[in-house]
Amino acid sequence: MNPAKPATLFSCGKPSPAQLLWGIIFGVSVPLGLLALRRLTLPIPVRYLIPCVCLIAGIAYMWAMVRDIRRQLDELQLRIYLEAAAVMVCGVFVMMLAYPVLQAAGYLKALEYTDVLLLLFVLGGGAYFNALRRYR
Amino acid sequence: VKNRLRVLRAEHEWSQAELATRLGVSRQTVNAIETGKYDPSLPLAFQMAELFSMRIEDIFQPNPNRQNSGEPAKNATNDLLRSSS
Repeated sequence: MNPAKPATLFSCGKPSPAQLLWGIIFGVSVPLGLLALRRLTLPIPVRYLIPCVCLIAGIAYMWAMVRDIRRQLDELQLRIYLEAAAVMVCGVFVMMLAYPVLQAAGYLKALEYTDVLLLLFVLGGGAYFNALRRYR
Repeated sequence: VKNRLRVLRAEHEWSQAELATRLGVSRQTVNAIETGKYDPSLPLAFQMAELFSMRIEDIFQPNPNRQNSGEPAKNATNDLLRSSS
């Protein structure tokens, strides 16, 4: 973390150029790749290559983000992030294990990936703001 | 763990933000340590001790409210100290 200008608890650090670059590549490659796969008639190797590009960009983005978080945030901020991540991962894990029962009982329909994304946002966001409140 | 950070900071006439800058942490972290909501890591505690030119135990003391829960560990530490002296 840069001692000259410490980040606040609300910030997640300043994104490095690498994080920005990979984020843009990832953000652009997914819709463009989807568009190309749906609209164009592409040879099989290219069809397999497009998701790989998206995945590689996404993993690189994640890697850069984690590196930035580790370098820029102080120990309390890291703890808050860790608590939020733990709740998020454990919450999704529990939901996935309980999903067949919930579906059989009629609580849930067939699972969409957007449901999992929503669950991640709700759990992660809730846990993050709860931890922020606790340490404030 | 209770601490004398607020008193020491006041003695030096530093704001929370100023102390945070000197320690390289956020102001909220300094506030959380002062209010006892967060216990700093050992490296940060050493950094504070160095900044105030004091020993760590002169800044941080065990919280008496938590003695009951930590009784076995405390007894074990006391036994160890007795046996070594």
